[in-house]
This record gives sequence, C-alpha cells and structure tokens, in this order.
Amino acid sequence: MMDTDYKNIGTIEITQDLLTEYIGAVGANSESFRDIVPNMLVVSRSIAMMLDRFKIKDGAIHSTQEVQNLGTAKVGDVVECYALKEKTKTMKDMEIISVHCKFQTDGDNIICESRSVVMVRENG
Amino acid sequence: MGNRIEEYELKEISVVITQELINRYAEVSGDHNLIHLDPEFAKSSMFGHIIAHGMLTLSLIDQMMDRKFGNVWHATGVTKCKFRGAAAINDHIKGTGVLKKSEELDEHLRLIYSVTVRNTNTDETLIGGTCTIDVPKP
Repeated sequence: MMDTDYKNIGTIEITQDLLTEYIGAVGANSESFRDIVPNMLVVSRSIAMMLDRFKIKDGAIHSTQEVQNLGTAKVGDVVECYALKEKTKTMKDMEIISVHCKFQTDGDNIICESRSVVMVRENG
Repeated sequence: MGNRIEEYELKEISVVITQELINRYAEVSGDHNLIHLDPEFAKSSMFGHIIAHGMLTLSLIDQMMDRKFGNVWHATGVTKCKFRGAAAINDHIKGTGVLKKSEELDEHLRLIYSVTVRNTNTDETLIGGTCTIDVPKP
C-alpha cells in the first residue's frame, strides 16, 4: 500500500516503441538495455511530470539525482508515479525543490524509488 | 580483493551531445524545459546556451552499470549523483567508474563505485557520485 503522503502524479505506459525511443535518445547502442526496461526511463518521465505537477518554472537546473532500483517494469506494464515534495528551500536567489518518487507497477510492486533536486531562480 | 578487482572493472562509455539527441530525449522524457530547446531562452540562463538534460547525461552511468551487471543492476543498484556542470551541444562526454569499496554481506558482495561523467572537450566534471550494487558472491 502506497504511503498516503505520496500523490499520484501520472502514469507511464511501457511500450516497445517508448523503450526503443529511449534507447535511441540516450545514445545507447545494442550493448545496452537488452530485454530490460531501465528504471532511468521512468525516472526521466517523472521529472517532466514533476515539473508540470509542481509548476516548476522553465530554466530549472537539475542538482541532485538518486535512484534506488528494486525491480523492473516489462513492456506492457503501466507504471504509476507517486511523488512527495519537500518544503521548498531558498538559497540566495534560488529555490531548491526536492521531490521523492515511488514507481509502482500492477500488484503494488514498487520497482524503483528516486529523489530529485532541482534549482530555479526565484524571479524566473 | 586481489584479482577480483579486474572482474568488477567498468568499461567507460561516451557520446557526443547534439541538438538532435536533446530533441529526441525531450520527446521521450516529456521534458520540454526551454533551457534544452530554445537558444534565445537559454541565452538568458546561467549557462548562456542550450544544455543537455541532466538525466540524459546521467544515463551514461546507468548504461555503464547495465553493461557490466545487467539484471542485477536493475534489481539492486543504487545511484546517488550530483550534477556539477552541464553538457552543451558538440560536447563529447564520457562516463567512467572506479571500484572504491567492497563489503561482504551474508549472501552477496556489495560493490561501491565512484562514478563520474566528464566533458572531454573541457575536462570539466559534469556529474560525480556513487553507484552501489549487491552481486552474488563468486
């Protein structure tokens, strides 16, 4: 059961096309990700969901990324992304936004947890 | 660990950042932050030019660990990294990793790597951090 402090910020349908596009987009060759859906794919998608859900302005800079792999999704799975945003901190003129995510496939199976920190200028 | 160190060596991996690669990554990730896509917007940023997505850069480390450990990486691996710089268009970036520590657990060996992504054009470190993985004991 997902911690109720975490809010669902979206779903990711894992398709063969998405996986193929991801592999091409990160410049991977045929030695990488054979028969695997890398959790970095779902974490990558979660960054965009997070920026949208928490209305983080354009120009945000990625500062820190942590990813804990616990398993993998399969092609055909739907991954639910749950996020918990910490209280925003401010340093000089930068807002520091930290978001924890958990990624769950069908059957309450958590495949990955992440923490992303982004920085954005307070006044755009 | 004697000769076992060689067994756990990581092979470096590199890529040249292009606007096409950034555009493809923006599509697949859904991250259309203008700092990656709009030269005019990017000029006003702290970098002054378009930069690659941090997660695109970080993917080199994930690929490096995937190639070495396959499924085990995706089942037990932990990445903790800080972004110290950003890659620009035409930058050649390289991911490397060095085994720093191993710990004997009951059924596994925990391997802790120091990992980096460097810009080989400028010799700047773009990402630094650790990757930890539990592998079956030999």
